[in-house]
Amino acid sequence: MAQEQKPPEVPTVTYTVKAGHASNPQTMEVHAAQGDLKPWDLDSKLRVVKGRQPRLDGKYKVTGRAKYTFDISMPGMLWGRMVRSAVPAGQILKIDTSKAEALPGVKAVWTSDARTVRFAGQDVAAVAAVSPEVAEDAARLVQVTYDEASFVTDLEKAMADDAPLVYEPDKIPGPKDIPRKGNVLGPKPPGRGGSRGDVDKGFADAAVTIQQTYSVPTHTHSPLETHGVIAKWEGDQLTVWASTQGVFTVRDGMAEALGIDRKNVNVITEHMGGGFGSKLAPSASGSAFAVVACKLAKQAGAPVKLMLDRHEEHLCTGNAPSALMTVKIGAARDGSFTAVHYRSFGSAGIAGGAGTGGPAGSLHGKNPNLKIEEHDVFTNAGPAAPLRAPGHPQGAFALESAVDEVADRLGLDPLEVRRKNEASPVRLIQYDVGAKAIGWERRNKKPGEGAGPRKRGIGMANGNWYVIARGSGVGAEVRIHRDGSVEYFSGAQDIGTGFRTAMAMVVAEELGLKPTDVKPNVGDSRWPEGPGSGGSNTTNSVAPAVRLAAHDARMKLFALAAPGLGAKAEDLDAADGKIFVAASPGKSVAFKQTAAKMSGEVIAAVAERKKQFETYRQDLAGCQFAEVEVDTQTGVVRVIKVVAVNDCGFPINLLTTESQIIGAMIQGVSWALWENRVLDRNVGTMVNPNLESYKVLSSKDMFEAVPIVTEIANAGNNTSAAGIGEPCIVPTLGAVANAVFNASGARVRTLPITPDRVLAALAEARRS
Amino acid sequence: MESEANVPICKRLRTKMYYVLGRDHVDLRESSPTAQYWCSRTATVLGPDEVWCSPEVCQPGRACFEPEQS
Amino acid sequence: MNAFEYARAASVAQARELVSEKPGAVLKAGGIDLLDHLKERLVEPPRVVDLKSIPGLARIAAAPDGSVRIGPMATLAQVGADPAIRKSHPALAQSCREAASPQIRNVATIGGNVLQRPRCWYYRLESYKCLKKGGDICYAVGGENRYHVIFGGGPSYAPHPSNAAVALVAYGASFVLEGDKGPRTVAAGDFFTLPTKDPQRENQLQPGEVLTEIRVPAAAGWKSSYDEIQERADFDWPLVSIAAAVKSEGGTVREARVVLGAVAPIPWRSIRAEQALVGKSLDEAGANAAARAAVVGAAPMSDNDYKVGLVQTLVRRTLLSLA
Repeated sequence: MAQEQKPPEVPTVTYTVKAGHASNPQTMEVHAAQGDLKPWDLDSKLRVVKGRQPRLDGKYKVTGRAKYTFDISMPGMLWGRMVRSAVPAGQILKIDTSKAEALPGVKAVWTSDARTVRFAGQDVAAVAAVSPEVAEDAARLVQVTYDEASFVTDLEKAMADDAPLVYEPDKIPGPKDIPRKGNVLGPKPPGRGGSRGDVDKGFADAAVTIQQTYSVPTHTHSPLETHGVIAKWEGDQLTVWASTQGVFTVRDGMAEALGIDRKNVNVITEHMGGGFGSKLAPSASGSAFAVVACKLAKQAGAPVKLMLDRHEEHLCTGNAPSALMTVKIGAARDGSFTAVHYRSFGSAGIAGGAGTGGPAGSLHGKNPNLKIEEHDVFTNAGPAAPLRAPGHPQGAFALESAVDEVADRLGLDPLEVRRKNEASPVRLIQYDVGAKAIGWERRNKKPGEGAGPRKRGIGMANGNWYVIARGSGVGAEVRIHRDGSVEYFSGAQDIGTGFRTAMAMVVAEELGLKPTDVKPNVGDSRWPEGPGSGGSNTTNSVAPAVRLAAHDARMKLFALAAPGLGAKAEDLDAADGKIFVAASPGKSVAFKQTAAKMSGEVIAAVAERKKQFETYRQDLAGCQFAEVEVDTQTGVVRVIKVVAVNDCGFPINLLTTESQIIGAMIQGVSWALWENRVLDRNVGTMVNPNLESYKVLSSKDMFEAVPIVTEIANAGNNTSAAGIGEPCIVPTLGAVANAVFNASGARVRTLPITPDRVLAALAEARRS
Repeated sequence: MESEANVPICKRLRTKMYYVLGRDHVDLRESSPTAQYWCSRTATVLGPDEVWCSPEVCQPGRACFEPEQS
Repeated sequence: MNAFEYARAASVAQARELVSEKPGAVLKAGGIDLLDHLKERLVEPPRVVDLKSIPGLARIAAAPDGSVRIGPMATLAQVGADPAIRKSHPALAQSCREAASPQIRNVATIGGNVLQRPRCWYYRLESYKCLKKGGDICYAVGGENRYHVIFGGGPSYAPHPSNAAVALVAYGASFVLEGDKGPRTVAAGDFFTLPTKDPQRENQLQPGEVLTEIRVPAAAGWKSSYDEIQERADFDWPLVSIAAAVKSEGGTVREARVVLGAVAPIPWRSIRAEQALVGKSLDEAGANAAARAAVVGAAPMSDNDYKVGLVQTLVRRTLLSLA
């Protein structure tokens, strides 16, 4: 994944850092922008950071006092409801809203200008009414007349020469540099995928070559809180409460779509009920509902709340693309790869961006010859949206299944094959940690060798991610009040990861306080700008700015304390609510007492994120080990245990870092075993747009989840934090599939791994 | 392969990285393999002409193209 | 959902009256199935008549002879936990304990469970005007039918959703239905009806009739069990379920009941499997013979032939567990 454009040269200061993993420290020099701080490293004595701090908002969440967008209500508020296309393709001939408008209680109606329908669930019209019930009744009274057209929803069918075209080729000139044939775009030009060497030569040199095709269906994000907003106008001033991963994205998005000044738009996200990537757009990838809510509110002269329902959430708010992935691996007898050819066709519905080649481009770095070809296939289905390491869980499932197939062919331990091809020193450490935690030696030496119909097995897979950090345009403010209370401000949103608590820990670290002493203020576009929460970047983009602001406040406070302690400000330190002389900690003064000395009421320190430093490694390594039980007579798979070992740089809050890893394992197991968006092949509409038949892991399916963080002093910023939200889901699917094989001998190459597929794979294994 | 350095791309084109890493990100100049693009006029993945968005197709020649202000 | 009037009935007679005086009015027990219908507008009743307010309808009474009378308003949790039923009719208790999730079992009633409409994903969405909603096609044919029937299908192919019903058929239970002409008693085995009769109905409950009691005869001398195969460990509909009961003498099966769930539009009694068992001993060979017999006549659809194998596995396993 490509990084930011090269930043402009700025004056720098050089720091020598003890970076990497504690078992293998590396001394490196980093060049920080002047005014930035030395990164926390392996020698730092941290008092708060890297500890386990329960969420500061935890009690509000579990007692229901935390107000999510869904919970917000205000006097005079109207309820919005969208009308969506009922057919997957065609032209809208007429939208008749007269009956809806005539319904008592309806205050505003909106209709789309678009006339081409490309997927079932597209925005057609909307209403705002005095109650959700009236809004629903009104939406049902909107009559839409379609001229239906032929459509294609299936990935493989869409690739056929005679498939109905999602976009007519004469509509716009074809994209430059990218071949286009029917619904298929690609392969994209090399350069971003990481192709290298000469695969033809590599395959010619191989002792064994395997080639297999793997597939995954479309997976939907299914956050507990659906997409939604409340839009309120006061004159020209627009306030939007949004369930979003990007407070500033929504601010700018509303301003740009409505043609108003962004300074007149304020967006608030105090608590967020999950997004997993689907809430990175101003509304949603397949719906402009938030813009529509603002328009309805303007028209009605009243605030409008528009929350999508679960059905809509599945149709138009994004999904993880389906993919058909062919992996060819050539290897020497010892398991060293001589070539990898990775070819994928994915469908992001009516959008592009269904690539899955990321893991192939990053894993098995010792392999000299690599070719990656990725294709987008348009289908008449809702557009994808980034989903927790976009394309990577799918790609790692295919690639890491294929690696196990190579190991099986060669009669080698799959972990040893990975070691042979491993270029990351971090992952080499992780292999040992994970193998020990799962008891790798317990796995079946011969797949399916266990006695009885219910067989256990262990498998593993790798995952990769990248250090993605915003090095500018991010700010933070820390205030120390005269009464000794402390708060910080970041406009960035806490999408449920525990961001607000982690930032409080950074402030507490600098000021020698407890995290509970720090009041967090996050998720409001009036506060210092933060990034959209994508690429696992929020903490490592914002924490360095928070630390800088806290450090500035600390030095201002030290200046107040220094005379009384008979020392210079720079010789002071702070811990346990006291400020003391670092060299003689007995000489101290209470934090509160010092704060009382300020001349005004507040010390306010504002800081901007400075550029990213040289980083210990640009990739985030991870691997997972799964133990499963396969009932070989029913095909039912139960996951017993998953061990995740991942690099996240320095975890600011180990507790919520582990919580993210556990969440990823759950989402990954759910993806591997159950989740599957099913569109009816004849009608083109979704048959399971709910959480009854779109199956996610149930509580009784929960397994023993073991999150292990391999702390890496990554030195990329002053906190050494990197990211964790995404990397830890990348290996799960492959680890489960490989464990199913080890348990039973069934190689299931199509997700989800349902009983019918396990039984079919077992039958195939018996035949061969 | 770098795309032609100075091909103008519609000022309305948006993608995740615009808000994650900043508006100068490479994803705004050539298609990310894994990202979706949207139009800031429509706020969805379809432009005003009801066709998909990407750096390669949101270029001069498309009816809805809007150049960056110079 | 539509706006409706809500009425609490004080007696079965009043409930019947409240329903009959408003065409389209519906009865509500636990409300699990009804709420789904209301939210998706599969029904738009002018009035919902709640049965929860009727005293005595949730009573479970075990008689000294081993028979049990179950009030239809008893929750699945109550039936599943009832000590007498667990002892006398373990397959029934098991079927209730395995259903849905703890939250649902605490609210859902056994009467509602038995009378619930199919869980077919086409039926459950308003947009598909299927046979069960008075339309003219079954979308499962040539469509997404991995969860549909392999026995007794046509013209509709939605499986019957109740697993308690599977156990009740196996025990030879009967339903007391209160209608215009007073109460009538119908054997569970006759109560459920195939779509050839009427694709819009799954049983012979008449409009205005109320299920007032479930009578389960004594099962002394029988060994019985319920089991199911589902994709998730909980909160899922089985792919296949079974209630099996055998009465043996000196190691030889004298009588047997094998009833399959989730594979047919009604709880599917496999007479062939039962016949294959009678006179045999309950061993591997006997169980295998019954398993083979159970799938004779199976007619899988495009995506559900795996259910044929699952039926055999489940029949074999469950019978062997009774040995």
